[in-house]
Amino acid sequence: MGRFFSDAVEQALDLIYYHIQAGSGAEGFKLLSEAAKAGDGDAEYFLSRCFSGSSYVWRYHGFPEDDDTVSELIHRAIAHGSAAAVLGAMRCGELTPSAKKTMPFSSLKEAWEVVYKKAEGGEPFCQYMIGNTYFWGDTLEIDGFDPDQYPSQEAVARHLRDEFLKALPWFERAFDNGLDLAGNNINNYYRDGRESLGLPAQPDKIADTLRRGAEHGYPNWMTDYGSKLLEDPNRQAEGLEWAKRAAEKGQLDAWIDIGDAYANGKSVPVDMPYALQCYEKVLARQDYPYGFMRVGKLCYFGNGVPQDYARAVQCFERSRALGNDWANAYLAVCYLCGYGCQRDPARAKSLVEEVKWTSPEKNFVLGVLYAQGLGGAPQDIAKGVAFLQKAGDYRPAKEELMHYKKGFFGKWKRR
Amino acid sequence: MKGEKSIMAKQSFCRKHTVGRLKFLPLGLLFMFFGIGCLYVGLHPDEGDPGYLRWVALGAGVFVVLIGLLECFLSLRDSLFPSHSTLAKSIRSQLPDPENAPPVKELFEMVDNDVAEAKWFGKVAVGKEWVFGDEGVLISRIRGVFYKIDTHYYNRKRSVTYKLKLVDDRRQLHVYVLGSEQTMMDAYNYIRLLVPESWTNNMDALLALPEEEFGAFNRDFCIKRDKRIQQEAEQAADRAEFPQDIVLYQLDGVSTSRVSAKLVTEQLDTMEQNEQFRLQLLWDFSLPHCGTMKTMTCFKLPAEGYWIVTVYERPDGSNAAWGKAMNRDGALDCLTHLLRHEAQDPVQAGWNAVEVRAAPAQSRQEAFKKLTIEQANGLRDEYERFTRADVEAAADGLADETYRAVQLFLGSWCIMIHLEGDTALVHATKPCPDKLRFYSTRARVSQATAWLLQLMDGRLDPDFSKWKDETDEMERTILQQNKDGQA
Repeated sequence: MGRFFSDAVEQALDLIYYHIQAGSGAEGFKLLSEAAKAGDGDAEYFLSRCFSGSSYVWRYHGFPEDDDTVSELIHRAIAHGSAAAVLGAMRCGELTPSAKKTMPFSSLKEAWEVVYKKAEGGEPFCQYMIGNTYFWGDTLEIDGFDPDQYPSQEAVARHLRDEFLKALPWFERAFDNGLDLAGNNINNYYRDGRESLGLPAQPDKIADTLRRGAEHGYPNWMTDYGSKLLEDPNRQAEGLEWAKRAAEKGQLDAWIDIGDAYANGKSVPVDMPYALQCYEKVLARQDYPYGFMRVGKLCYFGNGVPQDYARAVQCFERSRALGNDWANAYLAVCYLCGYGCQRDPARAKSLVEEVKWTSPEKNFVLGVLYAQGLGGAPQDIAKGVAFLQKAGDYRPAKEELMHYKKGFFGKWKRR
Repeated sequence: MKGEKSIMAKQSFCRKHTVGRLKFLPLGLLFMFFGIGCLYVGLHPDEGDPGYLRWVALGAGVFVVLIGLLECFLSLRDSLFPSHSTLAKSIRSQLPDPENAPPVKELFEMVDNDVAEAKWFGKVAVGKEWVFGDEGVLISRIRGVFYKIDTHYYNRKRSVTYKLKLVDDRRQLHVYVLGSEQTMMDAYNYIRLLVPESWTNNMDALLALPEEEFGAFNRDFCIKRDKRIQQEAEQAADRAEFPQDIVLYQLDGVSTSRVSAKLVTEQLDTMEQNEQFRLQLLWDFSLPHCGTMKTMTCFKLPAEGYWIVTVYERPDGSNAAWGKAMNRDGALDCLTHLLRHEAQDPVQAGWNAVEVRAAPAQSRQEAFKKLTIEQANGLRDEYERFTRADVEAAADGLADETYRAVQLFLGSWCIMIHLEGDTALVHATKPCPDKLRFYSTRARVSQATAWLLQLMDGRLDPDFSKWKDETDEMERTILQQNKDGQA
């Protein structure tokens, strides 16, 4: 039996949370699955977190997301007496009335005290959970808070403030003891404060948390810290080093920063083919639009890499499907001109109309659509010419403009 | 002279600007005649004329005679001695070694070849290498492109001239007068397309740059231009090899328009049973009785061989498809011919007609559901995943007053129960064919919790005619909220 949980759970926590790197999660998952099958409630709870998505566990462990499995596991965990599951369920909306009835604790307070004791003993995850109960106000329900029992509104506010202030020391302990998730709430604490309780935001303290997280070796934090340093012209080499270290640990999105460094010559010579290789590694993360956006951009412009319009269209469409409309104007040019796809002026029109900002490509597309009456746009040569002129030095727009001239009465017409 | 005359017979643009100048000879003679007339008047004044008139007449006569002489000289020189013409001089001055320039025949041939392909802007021709008006400038020497509109007033009349000004790498200024602002801007924009690295901001600033700074600008210009030319050449070579007029949807899901026979062969030779890859045409390939070819798909058959299917779009917008089983060589032949814009007529080649099926509709999203419980102390819990047991527990909580309010959303249906003393205030929604209707009533807690469970079971159907219909009031509230939100 481990110090705080069963051996299997403690080993799994180490592999999944405290010493993250590519490949470690699978072993931890296996340990939890076997222990859960044997009825270990804590194993069931931590296994439910594996299915809960990237807000609950390192995304690059590659665990599947399944809300129904989460629900089932967490309810079983509660029924099997996992105090951690009770507090965890409060956080994720799974402590339903029926689940409360099955927990073997006489009250939420009893479950909380079990976790509190482990937190006091030094267990990082429990420290994080206790911090959460203060941070999110769960202690109000746990302690049976009744505002009517306080003499005044000020007294109520003082109580709420005191409870909230207890969160940060727990998060700090958990963060320093090996749990990177705790750092997220430290940053939340500093970024947002709690104005309603008279606690202002302290955003200047966030940078220090980034550095500490990176130095602890947490891959997410190494990436974020590296990104920040790459923005400083004097510390780009250092930033690139952090990004590479994060990438070695399996943090896929770190390859974006590495690719950007080689694409823009940040502390290294420009190497577009290598930048493309870096961006392509990120495509393994199918839900991340930025990898697709960057590969698409390089293939579209063919700057230092072979130009491939079809690949660009595919990547831009994927990026767009993931909610990123940065490349809409480029995609519109492709559909308007038939670059790498079949000509579809109507689609080009709908794409540029989604774009809120102006760009030479957007003006070019709108110019051609209106000047030629394509894609459902009513033909209006003057309007089209106006858009083409707004495109500035964008070569295709200037070439298109050569097709129009003003007639005798000053009306624009096609030559 | 005789040789030069025969040259003139062949050359059009240059002929216009050399032999063509002869048309100004009568004008020159006229000026001279007028000038001589003024001189005569000046030398033989009438006795009554004021003294200064004599000097005015003499001065004017000398001036006009000189103008006439100059015009006659230029006309005769350019037409009879083209190698000494303004045009020939300007062309030679643009060459790297003007002293050792080729003979005028070669020069004019070069000019005329370029002008034959030129774009005209009034009297100005912009070819591939030269810009020509009354004088020529090599495009590769252009460093600055400017325009100016000059407005003159004379005798209350307004005249406007439109000038295109080009500065070359020796800082020689070449001015071309054009007939209209449109023509001037067209020429300006066109030349800027050809020389995107040119200085366009302030001509005087360019001309006034110290030698060293102009040299630095010139070097920078050449580097950028050479880089652009190299990129354009590489892109042109790339486009020749990969015209990007066809898209290959590969076996691994990655699409590319850099399609080669080698890549297609790789797909064919590595595909497994039941796998497929597809070629999508981006150019128009039509057959009279088939339509426009859209795609050619290659399937690997479970047994040996491949199945090639071509899909055509008919004029009415519907699709038609033909397929044929082939061996490896036949499939490869079919696919690689398509890269060369060649394809068999499926009807004549005996392909089988294939049924085209529409893509399956996307599955509908799960309906919205939420359970909200408000505890007696005012704390609220919301659940998006819950079971009937949770709704039963919520109902029990209302009955024993552990909870003071419960709300259940299932799709468009909703029921909200608030405890008020011994009774419950119940609000409910009902989706009707015309709109969503809102109702409220007051009921015993046990009745309210029974409705809650009925909704969970999908069978809520109280007699709403006995409830208060709050639909209109709710619609007004929503409308007002929307207005407030927009404000």
